[in-house]
Amino acid sequence: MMQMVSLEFRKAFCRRSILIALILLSLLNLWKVWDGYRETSYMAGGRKSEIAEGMRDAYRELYKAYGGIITQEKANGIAAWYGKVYSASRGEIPLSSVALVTSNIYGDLILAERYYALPMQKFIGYAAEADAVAAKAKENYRLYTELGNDYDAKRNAYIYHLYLGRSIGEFAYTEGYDAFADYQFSIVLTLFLCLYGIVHVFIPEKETQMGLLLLTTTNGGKRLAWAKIVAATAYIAGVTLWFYLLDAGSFTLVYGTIGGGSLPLYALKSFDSAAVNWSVFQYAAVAGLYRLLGMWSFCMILLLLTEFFHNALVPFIGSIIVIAAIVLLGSFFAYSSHVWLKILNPYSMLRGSVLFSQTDFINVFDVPIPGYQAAPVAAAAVGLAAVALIFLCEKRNIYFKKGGRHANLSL
Amino acid sequence: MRTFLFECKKMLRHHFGLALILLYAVAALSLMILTDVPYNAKIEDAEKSYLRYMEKLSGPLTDEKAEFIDREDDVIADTQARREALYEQYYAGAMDESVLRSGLAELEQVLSRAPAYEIIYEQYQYISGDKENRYFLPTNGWNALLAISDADILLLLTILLLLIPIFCGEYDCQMELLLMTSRNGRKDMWLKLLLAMLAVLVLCGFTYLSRYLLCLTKYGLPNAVYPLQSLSYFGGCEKSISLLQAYLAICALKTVGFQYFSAMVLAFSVLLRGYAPTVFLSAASVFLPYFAFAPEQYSRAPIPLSFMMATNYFLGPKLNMNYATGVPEVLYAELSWAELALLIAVGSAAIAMCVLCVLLRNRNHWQHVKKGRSKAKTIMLLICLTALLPFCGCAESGEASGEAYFNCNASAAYVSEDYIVTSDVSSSTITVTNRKTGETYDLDREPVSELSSITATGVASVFGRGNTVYYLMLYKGMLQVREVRLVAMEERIVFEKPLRSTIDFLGLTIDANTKWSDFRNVMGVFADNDFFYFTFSSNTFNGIRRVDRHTLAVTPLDVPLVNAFFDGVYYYYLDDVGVLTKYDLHTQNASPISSVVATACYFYRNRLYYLNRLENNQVYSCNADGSAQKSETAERCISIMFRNDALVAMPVSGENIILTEP
Repeated sequence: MMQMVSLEFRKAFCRRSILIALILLSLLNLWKVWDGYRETSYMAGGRKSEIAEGMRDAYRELYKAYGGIITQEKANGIAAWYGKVYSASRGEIPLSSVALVTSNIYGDLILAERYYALPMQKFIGYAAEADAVAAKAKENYRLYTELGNDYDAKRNAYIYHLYLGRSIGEFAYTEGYDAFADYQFSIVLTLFLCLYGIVHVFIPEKETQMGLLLLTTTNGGKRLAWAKIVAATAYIAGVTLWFYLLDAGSFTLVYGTIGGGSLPLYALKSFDSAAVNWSVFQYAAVAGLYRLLGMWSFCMILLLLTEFFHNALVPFIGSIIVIAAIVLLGSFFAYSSHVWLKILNPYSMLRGSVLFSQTDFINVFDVPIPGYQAAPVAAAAVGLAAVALIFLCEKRNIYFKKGGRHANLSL
Repeated sequence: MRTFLFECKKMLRHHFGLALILLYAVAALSLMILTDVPYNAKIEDAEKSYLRYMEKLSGPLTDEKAEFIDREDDVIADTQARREALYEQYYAGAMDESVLRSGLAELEQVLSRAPAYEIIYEQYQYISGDKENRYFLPTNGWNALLAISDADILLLLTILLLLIPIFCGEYDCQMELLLMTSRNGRKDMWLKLLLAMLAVLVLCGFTYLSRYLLCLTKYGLPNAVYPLQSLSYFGGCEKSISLLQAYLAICALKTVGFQYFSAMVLAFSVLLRGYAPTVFLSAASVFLPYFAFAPEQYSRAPIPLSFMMATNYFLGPKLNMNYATGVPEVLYAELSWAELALLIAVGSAAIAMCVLCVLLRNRNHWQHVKKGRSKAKTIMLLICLTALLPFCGCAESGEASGEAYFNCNASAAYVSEDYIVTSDVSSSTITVTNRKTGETYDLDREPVSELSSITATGVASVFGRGNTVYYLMLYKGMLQVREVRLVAMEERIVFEKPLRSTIDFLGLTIDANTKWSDFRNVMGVFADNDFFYFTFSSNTFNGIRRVDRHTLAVTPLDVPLVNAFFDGVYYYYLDDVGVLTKYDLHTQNASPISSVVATACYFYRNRLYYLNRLENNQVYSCNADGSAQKSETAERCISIMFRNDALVAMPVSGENIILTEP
């Protein structure tokens, strides 16, 4: 069996065109990460950093003083510095009274406000906000229990335990993590490459009518289909992981992220209402696994589509339409209260932030299940259903174990 | 000619080209019709007066026109002040009811022009920025036609499906080896190319012509010779070109782009000789630059995508303000005509290369046999496709029965057998009081809204039916109607629509201006089994928008909102002279109830309390249909409101009179 899988893998995916595409798309991905950094960060040497010179060096210098464990001293230091720069930039105090860290006052203002004062304010203030959420949830729990609303009582109890004691104790540079959590271009590339690989799984044998011949062999038919699915799974996993690790590596290198991996997830920009209390590293690892599972189940649907056609054209175009529809629906309902639509959409699995940045629940027989726990179950179910359908569609081989009268070509 | 017809037949019939073209036509047309929303919905709301203004103003801005607008500004401001003054006099008791009515009727004609005038004034401000190039004209039609910069992805996919089988079909069955021996190979190649180009031309022509006709019939496309800069979308355009010329130029450039793309597809298919690599490379050549690069980055590159997104060539330069120096920097300069010509020349050379590439590989064949599929597989395919279909829309609401009412006043409240629900306008919160236990709590109980990054704005309006209440919430960019069953505080979202006008498509921001973006300034909501009714009170739209629960069709209903209420079935309001009028929200029929003439009214638990104009503004009560009239107080009052959990009447002088305690 293993031999069959490896043969199938080599036949379908060890192609020069796939290798070339993988290299080119990886380069494009690296360029895109770098371009995004240049476009959005003030420290990248791109258009934005033209405002002032030396922002990156100044940031690093200040980081030595302010980074790490948050203390009252550091917070006061930042607040005082920011207050001074702010007043100087509005002409309230003379410019000479501020010791510039970059080449001009606007550079200082951006550095102070965007990179130190606002994040620090958020980090320190978050604990109180989380406490308010927990307090409200606790009050809700009391009220709902009194009114006999079981489901909402359980939901609020969950929220209470989730938000209780949330606080951010460390100051770190999060720009790279924010951009990484928001980055979607590699999903396009992964989908494209997986799609290209998938049309080589069942279709070549249909194009050449080899399929009929294979049915007469010992290992043909369903066994072969099994080997093909395993090989395709390996390919999908390889491509997805490759791009995810490439993303992680290139974001770390390009943004020069220094530490901060142990920050809690809710310290990131769009994760205020994060569904979990994990660290950023834990989240990154789990989001990678989620993408893997989502991509697999997505690709199994597309593989099922290829079962019905004799050449690659229609399944390829059909898949593009399916992908576009699923992605559009996914982003349309990303912040919707129709949580089911998010859970069942494979797109949420590909883009972890949709599931992890919001505290959502679905109601399963009056038990609140967090959305991020239900989604992988749904994705696995959809993928397995697609695999089952592929098996149903594959013809049985015409080989009989006991004295069959059909041709018997051993592989 | 005969060979050409054979090729036609092969493409249109054997490769299902005709079916594909028809399918595209249907899909494109229905998408165009269904997704089209007015660029500026305010213009549609105030269409009549807007067009009347345009009759006077259309064309370049002259001194007389500027003067007219200034004068009109004074007239409208003046009339609004006079209306205020009339009301003030009336409330001070210095004026009779009938004088007020006749005074208001005089002002009505001018006031009805106010919403249209606001749009005109916006346009005036825009035009004043550059009087030479910006003219007055009704903008909705031209904006719908021109102000879109999306890629025609449907057209692109149709071209792929149509063109790839032309050559790949023969490689597929290794027919080309046989056909190498045929005599007319090279001649036939020309015909295939010609046919492909012709098909693309037809598809493009159909798309652009139908778009033009749609905009022409829906909005009208007057003043085609006015400069393109008249539309604010193209405000920065540096080319001097008229509106119609711009549309023709954009269509021509897009057609060049699609021809370029199709030539490339054909070249790929003869070079790669297989469906999979051809379709992969063709799709990648458009989609990857589309997702990877910004328009400024690719629009100078001679690739098909830059021509397909031709609108970008007319948007003018992109500037960025450098705060350190105070001078705007040019990030991206608009392509001049000369540069555009050069780009087209390079594109044409590339097309010629592709054609050459195809001709050098002279292959030819006649037939492509399509194998029939088994029935079971077709059924399976249908099941799969159905399974992929999204299930969206609103859940059916199990309507609770019982008394229901909604007052359009700001101080509206809902009182049922067991609960009092009151809204506070200043903090936009809604509070529930349980009448049995006396316990009071907020209606909105979402704990996560306590985070400062979550945008949740309540609307102080409440509609109740039995022990179920409905309220509005603007939550994370969504408009939500939430239904709460008060007994166990079970909350459900029964209506939810996004208010934002863009969506994020794999990192790209796409315009998705839906009709819901206009619902941002909604004031209140009530509902029956078939519709939601959203009330609006703004300068541009004053009235109710009725939304069908199932089809989501929106119908504006022009009814007054002051001194108006909904009793669960019908809508009632006091008309211009104070006569209670019953309005059927389904059929839009209004029928006056002449026995009730009032200056103010409040509907409360199946009884209508009103200031009887026939009895010197004493408080009376009656049923909604005007029957069972009864006097409540003998004092002359000026208003009725819900305050401190009781319905009270405010007399001309002295303490408030409590009409009914809960």
